[in-house]
Amino acid sequence: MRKDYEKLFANLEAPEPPAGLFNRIILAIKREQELRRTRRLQKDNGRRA
Amino acid sequence: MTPQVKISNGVDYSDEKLISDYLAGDEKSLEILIKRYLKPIYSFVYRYADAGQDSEDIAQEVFVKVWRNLKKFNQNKKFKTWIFSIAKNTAIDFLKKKKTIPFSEFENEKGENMFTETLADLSPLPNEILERAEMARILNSAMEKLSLEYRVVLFLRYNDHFNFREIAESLAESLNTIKSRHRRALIQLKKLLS
Repeated sequence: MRKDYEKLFANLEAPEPPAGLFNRIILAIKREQELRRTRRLQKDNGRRA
Repeated sequence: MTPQVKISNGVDYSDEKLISDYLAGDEKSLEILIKRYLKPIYSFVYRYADAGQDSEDIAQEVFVKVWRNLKKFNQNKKFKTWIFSIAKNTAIDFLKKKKTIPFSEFENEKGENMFTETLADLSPLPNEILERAEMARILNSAMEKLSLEYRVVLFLRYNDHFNFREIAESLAESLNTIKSRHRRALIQLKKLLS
């Protein structure tokens, strides 16, 4: 039965992610990484001052 | 969907291995993991939140959340169900903000139907194209009449090839709830298709 339904659902092709989405995700992660690094540096500098 | 690629050419590319490699400093492993889940997660939020163009933002948010919490991920659990549970919660947050009716339409703002527009091009005969498009239209129309809970279970089971336990974990429901929801969904779908 499962196979029959899988066959039926195969008619509904999954929507394709837009081109560029992968790069957007990587960029968003890199930006947040950078932000965290900057905050850490500011914190460290604050402690030293 | 084949996210759990265990061994390929003698190399272990399982989700678990990619996560531990990333946490050990290999940035590429995270990229492989994101690429592996990009389409399944995008189509899940597209269908779950009926978000059209916003699906892109939701999918991005899902992967950023995954990255933020990767260190806390319990590696005794399945990554696949974990990422889908994050996708579900992110889609719900989006719906709460937008107060939209989920799954109501599969048409975008231009009036295009994403399912019939994106049918795989396997170069079939014209009749086959028509039959597939017609089947997609009929099934799409029937699915729209089901409740969101039923639709999600059917999509995860027959489109993403999840087993019942994986669906239960992804949706944070009991196994019995998912099994009975699946049974009721199929009964309704059969009625709608006949």
